[in-house]
Amino acid sequence: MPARKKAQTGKPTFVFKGTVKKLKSATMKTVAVDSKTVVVSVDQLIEAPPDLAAYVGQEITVQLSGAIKPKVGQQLIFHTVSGQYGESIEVRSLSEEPVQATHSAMLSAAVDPIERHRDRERRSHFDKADLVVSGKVLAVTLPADEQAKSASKTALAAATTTRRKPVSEHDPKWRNAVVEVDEVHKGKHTKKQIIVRFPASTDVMWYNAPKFQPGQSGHFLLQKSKPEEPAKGGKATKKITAAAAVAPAETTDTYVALDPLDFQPDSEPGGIKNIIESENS
Amino acid sequence: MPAKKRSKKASKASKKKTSKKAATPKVLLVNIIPKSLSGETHQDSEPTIAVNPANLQQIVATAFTPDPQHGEYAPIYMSQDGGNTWTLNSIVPGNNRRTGTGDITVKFSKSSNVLYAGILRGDSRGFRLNILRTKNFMSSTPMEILVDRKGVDQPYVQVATVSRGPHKGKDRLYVGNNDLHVKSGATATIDRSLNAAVSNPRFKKIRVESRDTPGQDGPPVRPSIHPDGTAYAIYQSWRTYDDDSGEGTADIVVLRDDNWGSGSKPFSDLIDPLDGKTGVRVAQSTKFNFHGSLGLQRTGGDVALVVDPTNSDVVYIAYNDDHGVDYVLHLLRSKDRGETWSQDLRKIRNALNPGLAINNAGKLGFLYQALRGPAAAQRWITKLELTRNGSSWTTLTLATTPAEIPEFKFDPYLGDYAHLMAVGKDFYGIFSASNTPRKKNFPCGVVYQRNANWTTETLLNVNNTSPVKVSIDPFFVKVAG
Repeated sequence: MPARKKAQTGKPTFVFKGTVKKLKSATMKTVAVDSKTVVVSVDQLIEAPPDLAAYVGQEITVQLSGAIKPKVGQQLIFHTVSGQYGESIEVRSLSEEPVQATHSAMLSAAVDPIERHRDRERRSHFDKADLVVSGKVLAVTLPADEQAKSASKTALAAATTTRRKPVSEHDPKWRNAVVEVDEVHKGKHTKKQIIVRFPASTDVMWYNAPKFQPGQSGHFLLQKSKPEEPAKGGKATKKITAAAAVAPAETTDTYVALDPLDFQPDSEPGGIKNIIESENS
Repeated sequence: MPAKKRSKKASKASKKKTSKKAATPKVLLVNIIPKSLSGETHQDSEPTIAVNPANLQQIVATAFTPDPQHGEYAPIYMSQDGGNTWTLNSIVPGNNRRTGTGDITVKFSKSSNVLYAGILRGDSRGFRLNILRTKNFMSSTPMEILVDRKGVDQPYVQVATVSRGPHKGKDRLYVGNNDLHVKSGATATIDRSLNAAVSNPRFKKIRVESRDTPGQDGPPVRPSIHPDGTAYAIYQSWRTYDDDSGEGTADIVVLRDDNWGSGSKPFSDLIDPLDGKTGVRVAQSTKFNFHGSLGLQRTGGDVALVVDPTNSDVVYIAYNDDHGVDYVLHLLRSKDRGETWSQDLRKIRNALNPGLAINNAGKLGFLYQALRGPAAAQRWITKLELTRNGSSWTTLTLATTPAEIPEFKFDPYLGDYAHLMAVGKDFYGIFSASNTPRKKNFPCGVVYQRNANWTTETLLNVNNTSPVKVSIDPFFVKVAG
């Protein structure tokens, strides 16, 4: 017997216009059915993650918020979060609202629902960012703590009690991108350069972080970094690129970029550029 | 006897020993991506599985699968019909919107339906360990956090439930992990609770390393618990390590505790006869390369251990090491509680992700994934070998899939582990593989939930029309013992 669902909080991530097809019914055997459980036909996607982009025309199960009691045939806009995914999908509606004329902009077919979803995520990143700048990557260098790790290897040829920084398959392999700042769009920054720390690792924990290369230019959405202390005895000798000579000392403000949305190349239209434009208007 | 004849005879004997004509067990193989996610193309690698011993219809699986709606919680896969069909339920804290949770393993209590999990949270970059619990994995209620700390790698959960005596009914929970915050370098650790089902259970961090290390041990620490209270564990005890090359040497160490790991010096009942320290070194100075790879899958050290549920004296282990350019998988057995060990029962070139399980008749299941074929056409061959005596084997080829399709997205490509377990007479396993719907890729047969056209060998989206790219999926397997 499936357990009764418990109310979830959070922001809706799958928003669609749908028509109620059946009351007290579900499209899946594994979900609990009660008076709030309805079968809904997805008429139009408004905001959708990529995995749910093909759901127009499909019947799915919706666990209603309880705010309204819909009738069969009624068309509503559902703001939902994840439920179960099996032979069909079950979503949990945080709120429902009747379709009104004021929704016409939201229901405009001109806006891609996946892009709208991405825009919401971008907006969230922008809001959380400590600093948003546009600029160009001048060089990529090895941070002091990574240099220390390398330099200490000679002490490790045999078992020893010497403390070295342990490694893991999830090791981020930190790198520093030296970025020349053209313009500051959010936050305070007065220096001409910043250091953007990013993981070069292809591990599951880090693979989708931006992998900066010298010459890249675009917008950077950055969080302040609290760099780890370099290992004692470390020696700054190793360079990643020849251009590393232009790297400033690590006393320069350091930030981190960990998410693919933390960088948007100049060649990509819209996105963060639209957000900055809307902030300035 | 002429060498040629001797060779022929040996070859014949070898073939007999690995006969495939022995009664072929019944196999159920299911691609567990649900039909409703037919459009997904994630790299759903590193799978694990837990079967509920109190209800064999209930099975939970995990992989690097994100919540389809990019929500706060990562999903588990759950089956309520013995593994025939599967559903995602997002209840694991710390979803990363592209990869779901970080490292995860799961295990049920023997009798209470409680599901435990050890995870690295997907929303943390600090190797944040959570030990989790839920009394109802089918509910949308998120799993309860029992332990929360940083700096930990590869949590591996095992549970045993006390079946008699004053502690009857208590869940003994063991989470092997590599605790990288340990300053002494003795990082191999087991987090243990002797009564994990109660409110606010107490945990003890057991540091199991007794030898000097180059600052740490290897990532995998794998406990295995017998219902009589004998607790074993295996880990990769690092002896040397070179940060630049990733090369190192390690001892393969087996530990034992005869009373649930509950005394003042837990897991110290096996003493190495040569150096007198805790833990028998089954193999010494094995070579590994932490930067190495086999095909698109990274290597660096695999270990597995299982204790025979019918006799706690009998233990099997598997481990990997480097032999020249080969990554070699070894299988060994002890019949005297880990004191002494056999030579290799199996030695398999270029294979990894060992899963070991023993059923209630003492039959061993040995799951692994081997890279085979010429460079341009290599394939991952996933096999399950079964034996009652360690010398006569029945071999099942579960999957043979292209080694470089789909393209690599991240490490690990297939996973740093796959899993096998036994409940009663049956074996239950899980592995990840390329998901092209091609019948000859699955010689024992396979069931897909996601939409596919088996004639054109094409995956299809939820509309059952639009083609979908090939990706890595988790495959559940049940083999009748």
